[in-house]
Amino acid sequence: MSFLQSAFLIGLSLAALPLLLHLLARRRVSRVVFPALMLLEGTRRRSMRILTLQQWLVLLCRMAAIAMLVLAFAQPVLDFAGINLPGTRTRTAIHIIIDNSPSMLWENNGVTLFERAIGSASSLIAESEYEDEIIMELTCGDTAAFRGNAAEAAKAIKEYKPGDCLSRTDLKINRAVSALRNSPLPERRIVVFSDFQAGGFSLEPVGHRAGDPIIAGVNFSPASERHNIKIKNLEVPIFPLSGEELPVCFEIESDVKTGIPVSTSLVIDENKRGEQALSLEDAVSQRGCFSITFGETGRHSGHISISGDSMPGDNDIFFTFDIHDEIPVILAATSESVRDPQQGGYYIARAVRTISGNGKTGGSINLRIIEPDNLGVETVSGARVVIVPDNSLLNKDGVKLLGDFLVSGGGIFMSSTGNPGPDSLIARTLFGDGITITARDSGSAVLNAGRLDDSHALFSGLGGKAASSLRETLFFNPPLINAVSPEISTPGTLSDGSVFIAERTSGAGKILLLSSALSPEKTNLALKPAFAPLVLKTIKYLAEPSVPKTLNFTSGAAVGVPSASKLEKLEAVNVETGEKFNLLRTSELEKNIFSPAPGSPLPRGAYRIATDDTILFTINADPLESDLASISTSQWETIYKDHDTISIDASKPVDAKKLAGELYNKRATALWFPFLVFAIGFLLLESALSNKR
Amino acid sequence: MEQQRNSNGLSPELIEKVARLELRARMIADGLLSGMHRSPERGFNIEFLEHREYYPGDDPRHIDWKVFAKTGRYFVKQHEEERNLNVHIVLDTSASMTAGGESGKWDHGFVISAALSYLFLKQGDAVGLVSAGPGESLDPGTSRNHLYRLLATLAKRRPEGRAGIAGTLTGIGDKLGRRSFVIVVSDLLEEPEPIRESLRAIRGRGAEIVIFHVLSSDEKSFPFTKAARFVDPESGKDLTIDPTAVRAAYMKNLSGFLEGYNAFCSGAGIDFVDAEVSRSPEEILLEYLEKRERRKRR
Repeated sequence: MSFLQSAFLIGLSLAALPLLLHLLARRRVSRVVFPALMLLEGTRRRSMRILTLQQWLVLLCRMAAIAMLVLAFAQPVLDFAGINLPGTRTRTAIHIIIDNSPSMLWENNGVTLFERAIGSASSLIAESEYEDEIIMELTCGDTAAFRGNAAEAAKAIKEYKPGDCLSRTDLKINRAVSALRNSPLPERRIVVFSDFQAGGFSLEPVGHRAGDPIIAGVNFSPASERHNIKIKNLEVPIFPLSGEELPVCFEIESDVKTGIPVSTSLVIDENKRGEQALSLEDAVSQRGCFSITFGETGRHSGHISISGDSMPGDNDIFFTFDIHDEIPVILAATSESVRDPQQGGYYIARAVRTISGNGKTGGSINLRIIEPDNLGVETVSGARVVIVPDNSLLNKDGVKLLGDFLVSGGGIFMSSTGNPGPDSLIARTLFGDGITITARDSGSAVLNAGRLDDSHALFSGLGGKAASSLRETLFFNPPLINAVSPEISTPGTLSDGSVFIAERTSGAGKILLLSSALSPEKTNLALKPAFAPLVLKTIKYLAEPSVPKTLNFTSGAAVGVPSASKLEKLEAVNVETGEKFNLLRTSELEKNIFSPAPGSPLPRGAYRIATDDTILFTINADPLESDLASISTSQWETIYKDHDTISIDASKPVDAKKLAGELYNKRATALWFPFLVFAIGFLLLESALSNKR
Repeated sequence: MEQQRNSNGLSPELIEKVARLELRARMIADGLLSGMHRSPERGFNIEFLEHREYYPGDDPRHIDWKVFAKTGRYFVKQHEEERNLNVHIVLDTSASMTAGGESGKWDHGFVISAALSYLFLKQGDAVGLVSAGPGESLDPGTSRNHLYRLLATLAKRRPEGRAGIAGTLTGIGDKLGRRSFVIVVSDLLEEPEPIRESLRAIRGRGAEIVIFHVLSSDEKSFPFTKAARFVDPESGKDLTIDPTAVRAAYMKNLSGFLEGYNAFCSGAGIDFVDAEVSRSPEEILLEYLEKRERRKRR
């Protein structure tokens, strides 16, 4: 036997009250002067005997009546399937967890999984009884957990909306198990309405204790019916120039191999700029590109979305980009060298002219040729990139100036001519001793370009012919460059493994050092058709600040935007829509971190900080949520093997009565009424005995 | 509270009380004593003794006209009132008379005794006070001073100790003359049989006996409802009982006790007067005297 209101059992101590009063009354018996005591003598023995017996009977009746009354209030129940009086089912605390993550937006026959989950939960609530306690919460969003009775829950659930987060169903279940341990109700259940995405069950379940709730999983995962497409590897052009026609490329990946109609679209500044249908019939992933002409200079945002996906909108990828009108570049070379085909400066200038004359670019590179000796703060400060074809022409001041330029965010492209003095100065000053440059011993080494990192911005997007052409480049006895510091990266090496291109990021700027002069007697690189595009890529790559321009966050996860602002509040502007949101300084310990106010998450999109044009961030779909790998019923039961679980397949419509039957199947016989009858009976008996006295 | 007292040892309150009693007693007596009120033959000593020849100066109302009709001579009735009577008031001064508080049994008995004393002394009888219990006794006397001495004795007395009524009555019996009147004012809460023996003995000596049986209302109706420790003030014995459980038995015992005395007194020619404290002394005395008058007339 158990009690629904066990707190009332404390009242059993009241049963001792009559005994206490009786004992106190005996102690305080009054004294009566009564001369006619002789007339009482004969009655004493009998009366006292009867009195004692009756007293104790009355006392016992009173104590029993109180005890029965208290027990009736405590609502005793017998925990077995006995006779169920109306309304006497064991009170149940039922904790409903509804998955409202994006994966629940999968739609079939015009109804989303989320809508079905809400419908099933509503039906379950309708089957519960007034005495049951219902706790209800969503896996996503800031909606406070509901707690109340069935009628209130039926109203509250109507307000539930789909969310946008990584669904941590495991965390919610663990918390619910812990919370229900404190529930005063004898029966406890947790019901999870979810599609049981694998990503939502990474936590170890909380340890099982006696009396822990039964966990029911109502699985809405449609398994084979569902498909998901993800966008991967978005490629937005670096430093696009106004008027340039460049590709925005991406790769989509699907979890199904059968043909499904999928179309992707590119939206820039809320204008659809392209749409293309893709066939995923024969491949699970496919690359696609939108070739667009970049327009007005300034900051822009865009996103690529997929239609035909099971969960529209969950894979949109947002990005920002700046369109520039020109790239100011300084070519630090003598005027003679620019005209001399035996000098590297000549080929650089020719490549830039080629690029600028290319109708496809539209934009321009503003190339200024300055004598190395004339490099100064004023001339350099207006440039984004400085190209030094012959480093032997740099003096100490020039190298120091370039060092400052580098740290301030400038880009430097330089080639080593094998002159030990300037090489060591550059290695020390601009590369922070991260490289060594020495002459080769052989004196006549002929090498090819070896490994070229295709993922590096310098080489990515180069066509197959251009890439293979680059790999056939010859180098004649180039200086031997070795990277000796992890700060130095080498996006290209020569066939002997020595460095072809060394790269260092210093401050906000980048420097690239080519291990050869560009003169024909040193290499045939400048004669390759890929040279001009490579120069353009190099210039754009160096013009782009090395500091990541855009911070990427996942929807539903914490957003923390670093800023040097002294303000307590920053304004984030959606680049696409212009909608404004407030970011608050998070705490004293993280003075420079700003986050959305609690309860006001930012919608997915690309944002900029109104007062600081350099801070950009995007909020995109959660990659885990996009992975629609559901766990099976057996997997779910294995995860929660230490707990009592019930698995309900909800791939087809759920029978609410059946569901309620499984959840509320442990019925019990309420005993409050018999106890109340006993209490009244004892009171009547007490009254009869008292009157008899 | 300490009361202010005069040189005779009587407090003003008691003197006033005695005076009031005297007044009340006198009012009763005035209605009873012959020749003073509308019922001249009312009184304790109204028993007819003999006829004597009428002499001038006799009250013509006492002429027995029936005898005159038979004999043609004037005779007047001579009553016993014309002779002195020795009255012994036996007042129970034991602790049992404390029941009922200040206006309880003791005051009740006190007033009755005082009233009777006054009445008899007014009639010219000799009245003595006998304590059935601790305390001094007064031999019968007739003077007015005796009355005050008697009243003062009553006033100073407080009920205490054991009664011993049977013994007291036996003691009186030895002193009684032919015309003696014994009045017992008591609750009689002792073993009945010795008392009855003593009463029989007194009655055997020709003395008339009246018992004013004084019981408190509590003793008469036993109204208690809560369990209590009942204490006998004389013996100190106590009983802790639930009154509701014993009430019926008590009432039965009391009834038997009273019936026993009634039967005995009826057989022995003793007047047994219910003098419960809820009734006033005047009411009790008047009712008794009227009853006595009716009996004489029969």
